[in-house]
Amino acid sequence: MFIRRRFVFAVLALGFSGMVAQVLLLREMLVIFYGNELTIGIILGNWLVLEAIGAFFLGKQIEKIRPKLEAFVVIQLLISLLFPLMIYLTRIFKGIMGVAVGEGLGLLPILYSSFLILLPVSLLHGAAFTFACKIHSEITQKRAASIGRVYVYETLGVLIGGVAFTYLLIPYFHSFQISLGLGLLNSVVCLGLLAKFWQGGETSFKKFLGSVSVLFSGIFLLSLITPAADKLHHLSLSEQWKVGKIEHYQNSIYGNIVVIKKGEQYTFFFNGIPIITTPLTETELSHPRVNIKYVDGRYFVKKTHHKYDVVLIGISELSNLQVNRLATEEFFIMVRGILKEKGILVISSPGSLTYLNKELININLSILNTLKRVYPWVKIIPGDFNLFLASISPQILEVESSLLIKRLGERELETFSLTSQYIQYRLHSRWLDWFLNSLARGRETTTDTETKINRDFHPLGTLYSLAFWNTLFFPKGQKLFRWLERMSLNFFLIALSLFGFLFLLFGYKNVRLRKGAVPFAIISTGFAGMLFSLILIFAFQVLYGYLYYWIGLLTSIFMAGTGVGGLLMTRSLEKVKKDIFYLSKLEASIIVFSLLLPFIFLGPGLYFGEFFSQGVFLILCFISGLLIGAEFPLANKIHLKTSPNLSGTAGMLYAGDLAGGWLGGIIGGVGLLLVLGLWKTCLIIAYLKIISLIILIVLGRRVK
Amino acid sequence: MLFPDEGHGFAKPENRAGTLYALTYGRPCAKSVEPIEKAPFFHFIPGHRRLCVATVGCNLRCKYCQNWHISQKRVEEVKHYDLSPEEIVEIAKKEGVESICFTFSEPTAFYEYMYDIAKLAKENGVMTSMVSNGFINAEPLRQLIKVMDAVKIDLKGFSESFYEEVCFGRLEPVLNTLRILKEEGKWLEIVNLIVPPLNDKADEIKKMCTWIKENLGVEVPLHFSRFFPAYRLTRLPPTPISTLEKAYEIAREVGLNYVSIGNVRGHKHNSTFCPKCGNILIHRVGFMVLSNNIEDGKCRFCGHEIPGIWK
Repeated sequence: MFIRRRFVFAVLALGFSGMVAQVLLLREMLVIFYGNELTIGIILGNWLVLEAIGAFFLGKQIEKIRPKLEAFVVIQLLISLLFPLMIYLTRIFKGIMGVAVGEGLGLLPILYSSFLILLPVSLLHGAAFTFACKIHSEITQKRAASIGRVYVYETLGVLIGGVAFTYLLIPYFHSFQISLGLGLLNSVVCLGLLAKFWQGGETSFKKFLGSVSVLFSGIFLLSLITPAADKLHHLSLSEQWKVGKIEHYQNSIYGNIVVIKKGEQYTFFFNGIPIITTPLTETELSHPRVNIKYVDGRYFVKKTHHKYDVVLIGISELSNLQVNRLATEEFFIMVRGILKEKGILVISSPGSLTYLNKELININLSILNTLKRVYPWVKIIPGDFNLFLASISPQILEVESSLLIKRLGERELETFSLTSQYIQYRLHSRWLDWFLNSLARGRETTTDTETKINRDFHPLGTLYSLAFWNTLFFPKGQKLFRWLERMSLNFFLIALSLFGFLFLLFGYKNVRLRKGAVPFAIISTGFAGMLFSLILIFAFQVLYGYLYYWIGLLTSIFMAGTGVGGLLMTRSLEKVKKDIFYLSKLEASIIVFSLLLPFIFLGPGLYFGEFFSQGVFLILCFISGLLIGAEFPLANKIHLKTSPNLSGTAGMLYAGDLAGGWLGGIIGGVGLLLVLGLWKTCLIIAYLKIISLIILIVLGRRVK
Repeated sequence: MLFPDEGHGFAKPENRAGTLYALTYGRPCAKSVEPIEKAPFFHFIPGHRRLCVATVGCNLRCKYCQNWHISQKRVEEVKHYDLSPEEIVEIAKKEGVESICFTFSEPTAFYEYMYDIAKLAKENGVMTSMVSNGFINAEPLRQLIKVMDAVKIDLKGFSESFYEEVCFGRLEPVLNTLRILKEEGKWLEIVNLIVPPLNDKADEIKKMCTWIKENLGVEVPLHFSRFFPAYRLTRLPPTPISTLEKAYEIAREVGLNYVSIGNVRGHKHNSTFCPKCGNILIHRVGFMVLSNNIEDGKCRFCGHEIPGIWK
């Protein structure tokens, strides 16, 4: 009984550690990958696939190992040691890869570098799950129920980890303190599992592990109570930030902020991207007419009661959703509401006075067309950064060089940079003619005025920015992006239909393929689960902007849902008689959920008030997790009837679940959500599950 | 041309049965009329307008290229015009520009096209200039500069490691190009784009300035230009102005007479000063000329001869 309780605690700690490690590494990687939320899909996907590999390939080895508990302890100790090392590695990784200081990364290096960074910890974590299932079944003598129970305990640990991480850890501790603290926790857990290892009757291996656990506990404790953790932190930062001296480092709720000083210049980096470079001048910043509001821009526009003459949107690229939400149709409408009658909205976009490639044309057309949806008058000032001035008053079109020069003279303004010659040069009509000709030359079809509208839940601005970014690092991938831009819902529906048809056709006669009906249901559910997570994550970021703060909570609530779903199902396993029928009902529930999800985004709940709206997100995360989690134990029960090897079944279905999640992360994060938008992605999920349901009903019932 | 490696550069001609064909010939992708100071050329008929022409291609792969949209592309990847050398010269005459400038991408990547245009331009009384990375062999260079009035070379850094790691090229051929241009008596100006922390070390800048003084002379204008994030180096801050000013001081201490700071509009050292009397010769804000105190190639105040092409 005592060992059973300690083991349950060990599994809770496993879930807790996994959650914290995943989110902490994700946040660190967001900085080196420049804040792009789409990389969340890649990172989460890589985590899942590595867990799947660990669970299936390494996890299966438990059957061959005799001292199973000791093997579990070895894994825990390795995770304790490797996690802080991985934090350090993340910060210096680009230097190791030979990436020049200040150089960006393409999608492919992001894919494999996140894979390599996550590999040690997630591989071991996956293996630990399978080990835990086996050990628990030996302790309790319950086979199918063990898998479900371990799944539940682990996800409970994840939930606790998510809440603790968001509210207790990140507000007060930096990454090394958290990772070393986790190391201490796991070392102590190992000591608990090895209880009384020093006694005479114990094996020398157990004694050795006990000594190592004591040693690790001591080292981790010392590192936390001495300046060692802080020194590690500062050392790694100085390796990461070679561009200058770090004046300030902070993790805000919106993201990571670093201020670098070089010469007289201060550069503010947000999630690794330089956003402002300025010499700080007390005079300007403390001028009575300057009010600095440290708040999300979109939130400010929503809440303010003032009317403004000019609203300047200070963004340079739409490379992530947090920025893109400041250039959507919905946001432009909000800004129009706070502009005076002749007020002007100004936004910039990347440009060139030499040549506009297709990707740049798309970005600029997207901004231009989106602005024109909301403002009847738009003036363009082309340059290395194009300026778009939008207004509901036609007077904006009167902004010509002669007017500005006249006003400069009338106000007797002395300027060094904005001289009359420069104004004449910059506002010369030949640049606008060239720009408009370039846009016209680059247009593919006459429908360009209708398409390319950048919306909150169909972030085409980010898609085009990503395509533009890709041309810098992987020009051969241009064709892929251009193909993606043309992608339609019909393509996916046809592809899925074809797949389903072939599965049914060959599965009808092939026993092995028929047996794949249940694993396919799990894989597609894993895919759906990841997409639900990403949809809710992205929607949260679009509406609130502080995903960086809530990512742990959202992910853990989802996992809590899977845990509760798993627990309820595990308890009902004995009572459920018609397994396939019950699994089909769960499949149908997922279909209904994915069809209803888009309507909830437009529901009144999202606009009632922040607290209520955030609650809606948590509820949605929980429900989606609940549906996903409930399938797993039931699928195991069904599959064990035809494949009695417990660790094999657990490993395979767990791996299938995670592999589906990986696909969802890679395809969904980078592809579906940007290309089709949230609405159509939900339709894809629903259709995929319809296919899965049909396969289950037709083939699953024939499996004996 | 020099191609550092197989697979590097985007300027390779097509080999058809043993004959190399320049695919960029007659296919410019960029043409515009701009002030000469934007090159920057500060001693080449100040304030005059030039017709800028470029095709795709470059034999280097600098990670901070401002015109990567065309320099790092192949002909088939970019929309282009179809303009013969005759048509280019006609456009120049129609626009009333004083010179044609081969710039934006790497002009030696479209060597034959540039050569034919330049030759025709000279015959029609239009001056010519080139803005190049200098990564070219001696023989074609000597041939080319017979039809060039002025050349601006980007001396990107002063270490082989910088050239290899950031530009995928080599320093020595560029230095060789500079020596040849000096030898041939061609009007030469040099730009050094300072990219902290990659090539901003004071000792490296001093070495560069010393080399220029010893090999090219103190009269060659040197422009220190401020870096802004571009192409793959978008996660670096711009060059601090104090770094540029420090580089300026180093160059002046070494003894170079004509040093300027570029890409910092409104800075005092956008302007040219007389090395003898210290008065302002050409007052510039950015690339706009506000006043010109050079008369017949001499300082209006003290009569000191100022090197350059003034008409």
